[in-house]
Amino acid sequence: MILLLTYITDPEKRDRLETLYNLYHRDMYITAYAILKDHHDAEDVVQSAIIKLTRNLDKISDLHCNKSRAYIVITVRHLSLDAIKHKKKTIHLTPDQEVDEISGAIELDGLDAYLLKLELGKTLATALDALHRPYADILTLKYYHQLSASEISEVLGMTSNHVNVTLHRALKAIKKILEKMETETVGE
Amino acid sequence: MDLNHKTHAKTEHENKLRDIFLYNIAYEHAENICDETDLLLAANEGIEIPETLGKWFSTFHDNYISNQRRFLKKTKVVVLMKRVLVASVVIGLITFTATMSSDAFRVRLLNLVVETKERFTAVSVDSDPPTMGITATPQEWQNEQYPTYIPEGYDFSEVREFGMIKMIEFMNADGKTIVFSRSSVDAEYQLNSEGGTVSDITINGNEGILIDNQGLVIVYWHDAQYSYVVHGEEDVDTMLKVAESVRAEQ
Repeated sequence: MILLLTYITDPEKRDRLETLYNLYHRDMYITAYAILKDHHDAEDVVQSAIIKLTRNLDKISDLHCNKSRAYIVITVRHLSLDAIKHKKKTIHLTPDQEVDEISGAIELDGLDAYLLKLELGKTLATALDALHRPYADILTLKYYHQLSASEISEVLGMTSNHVNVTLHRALKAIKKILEKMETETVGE
Repeated sequence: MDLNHKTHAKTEHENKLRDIFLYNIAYEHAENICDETDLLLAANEGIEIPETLGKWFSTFHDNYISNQRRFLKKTKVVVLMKRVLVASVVIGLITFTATMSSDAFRVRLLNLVVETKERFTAVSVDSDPPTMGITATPQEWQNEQYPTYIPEGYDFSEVREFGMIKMIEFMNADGKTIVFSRSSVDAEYQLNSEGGTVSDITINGNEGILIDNQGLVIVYWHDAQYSYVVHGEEDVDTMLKVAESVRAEQ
């Protein structure tokens, strides 16, 4: 990679962009290639991801942590999926779920009993990811990266309303997974 | 306990627990992503990153820096202009407040815009009171007719009263005086004209006489109500100018 040494106006910002590329360009490329199976498409996606990430560079606090790495991979994954959609001109359907009316505030009725069982975190994350990856990704961006619906919509290339709907569905899915686990435990 | 408070506290408690619960799931998902990515990288060790990607990034990076630099310059200019604007407004407000609150300051400031085209023949005054050398109407001369032009160098000296005659005197550094006096039209003036030339004049449409007596110039005129005299040791033109400048005090 050829780097031109120029006068540094904002060395901190310049370093962050360079650091981001140096640390994660391989992660981004391989993630994109694994989905797209095409080198040119993967390169395009990585370029789009870098442009997108550059706009929100201030939001990435520490580049050398899993939190930032996960954020970058989620961004690349969704750009890759969008690229597939555009190529195939098909719309991905959400898995069969009961589509309830969005009542307004996101509620977790009946989850009181589980709220203190933090040890379920990894199991639930795995189960949610297996059920429908975007649920887990949006949940992570919302509750781990503390992004707003509009910021998530910008990262994932969807509308704010779609983000809210997906988040609502993610929480309902968590509830169903927990109820299923409870049933299985009682059955044992 | 107030039920509303209890409900609010309970709701807040549940919300915080919910946030932590979901944060925990989200954290685990992020960790899972990183583990999966490590496995993916290991499985694809043989894949080379295209050189074109590096070249693209180099160009992108340089453009990014240029844009940042341009943006920084623009921001600095905008910030500077805002500061200049704020400073101008503050200075303007201070000047306005000082001008309005202090007679002395107002006179001095307004006198800065007085233009004299020729010495003693044309005075352009932008605001009252346009008096040169006089900083304020003396307390003893309030609500009186007043010469609004006094030659440069003269300052208020004193006010005197002799029966129905009221006088205001101005003096310069050389001790020369210009005196303006006003009295009832019935009052009798004794004007020394011996050895001098006497001529009829008109002051602001009122009949009067001019006495030029070997360095002492006396200008006398009257209207329906008062008689006026201006006398001093300046030249005739100057003394006439003083006489013609007499106005009612605002």
